[in-house]
Amino acid sequence: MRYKTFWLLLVAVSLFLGCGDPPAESEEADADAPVVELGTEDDETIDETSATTPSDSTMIELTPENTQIGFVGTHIVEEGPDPDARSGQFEAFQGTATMTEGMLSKIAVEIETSSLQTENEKLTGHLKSPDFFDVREHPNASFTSTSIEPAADGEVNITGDLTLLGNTKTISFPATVSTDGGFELNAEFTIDRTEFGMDYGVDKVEKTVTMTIGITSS
Amino acid sequence: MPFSSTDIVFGFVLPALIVAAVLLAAQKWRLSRAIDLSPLALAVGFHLAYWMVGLGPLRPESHWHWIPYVITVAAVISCAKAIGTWNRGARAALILISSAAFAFFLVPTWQDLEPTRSVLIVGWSLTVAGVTLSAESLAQTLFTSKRSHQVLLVALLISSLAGAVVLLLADNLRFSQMAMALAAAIVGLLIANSIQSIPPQAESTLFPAVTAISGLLLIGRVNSFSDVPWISYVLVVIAPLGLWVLNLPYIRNLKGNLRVAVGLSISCIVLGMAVAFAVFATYASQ
Repeated sequence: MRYKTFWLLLVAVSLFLGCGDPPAESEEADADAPVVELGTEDDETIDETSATTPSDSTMIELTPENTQIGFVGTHIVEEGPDPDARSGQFEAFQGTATMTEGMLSKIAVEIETSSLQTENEKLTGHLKSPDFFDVREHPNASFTSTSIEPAADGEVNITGDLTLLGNTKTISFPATVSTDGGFELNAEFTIDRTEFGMDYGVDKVEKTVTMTIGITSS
Repeated sequence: MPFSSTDIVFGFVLPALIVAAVLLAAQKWRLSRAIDLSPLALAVGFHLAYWMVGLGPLRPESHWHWIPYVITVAAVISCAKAIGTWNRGARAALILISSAAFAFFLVPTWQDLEPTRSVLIVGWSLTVAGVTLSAESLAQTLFTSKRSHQVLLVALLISSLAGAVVLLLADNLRFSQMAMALAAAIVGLLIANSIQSIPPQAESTLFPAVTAISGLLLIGRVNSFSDVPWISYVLVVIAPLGLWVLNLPYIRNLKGNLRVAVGLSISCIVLGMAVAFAVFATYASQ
């Protein structure tokens, strides 16, 4: 009987030790987990995408060297445009653009929100604070396309999931794409920041933020 | 101007007036005879500004979302302390344990937090408990008149305002507005205190007020990317203890407004230093 009790206790202790994770490790695991929500059934990372790309596809790596991701925010003024419009850009991100049969078929990018920079140091700090991007709580933002439809000549309509402040919304925007002598993409569109939970100061700063994307890859 | 007219009206003026009205109404209907409602009035004033201006979400998801709920619990605990008879040790234990519990929610769980989460939880809860108990002891030994209670409320008010300035300089406008919300609630208490024939006990507002000021400065500091130093935040929290100068023999014998002025001047000097350090750090590098 004593031996039975001993083994039962041993099993119970083993289960207890095996099931519990220290909070730091769990958080570390969560911090390492990709924030990108692909909006698809698959849980692929950007790197894994290349392994499943059809053989007639080309993947272009998006880096700060060939890509600019910027934004413009404006204050609420009686008569526009706002003379104090604030612009900034993200300086650390990674992504891929996939070309299939010479057409842009997929684009995905993950951004380190703490890399945002403006021309004013105080403004940079303010944008990083919980008033706006809250970069300590939400260190990553991402975009993954779900469909890219051809539009007018040289233009496409990109639809995808944008994740900002931990909230994912589907957005669509037009982009100009050129594959002559390389790959070039330019897009300018607006988002409503409050839809992503960035709702501070709506009586002082416009809800709509203009996003600009420029890719030049030879 | 970082704050709009909406912020000022709904984030300061209206909450202050409503708090005063609530306390005066409670006294008229004799609700405040059985229990001192000042701590709850303080929490109500803060919440009014917080929700009317939209300073945070209803459901807490980040560490700083817990601040209004922490202040509310601190207010309820203050009311509970005022009802029963607690010996000094039990009161100290209650405040210390409560502060530690609040710190558990307010201190973020980031891996790269500096100082570490453990250090911040211990340091913050000891600071809140120490300042609260010290100020309560001061209130019990020195403050026996209506004027004296107003002095303590004024000390808390100027600390809140200084905290708002420090947070503004640290590029945290949202938390600065929360500090203004706290200041608005204290102004409401002062208005009611000056009108009521039975003034509220200012010491009962100490725990929620110190919790609020310290909590706002904690979340402001850890979320700031500015050069405002730690000393600015700490000085704002401990500034009300400058009133201990009233215990000095020579100053105790001073009369009326002069004694009040001396008592508050030390707190003002400490707060001035806090703001000065923040201003210097902000503009010296530019």
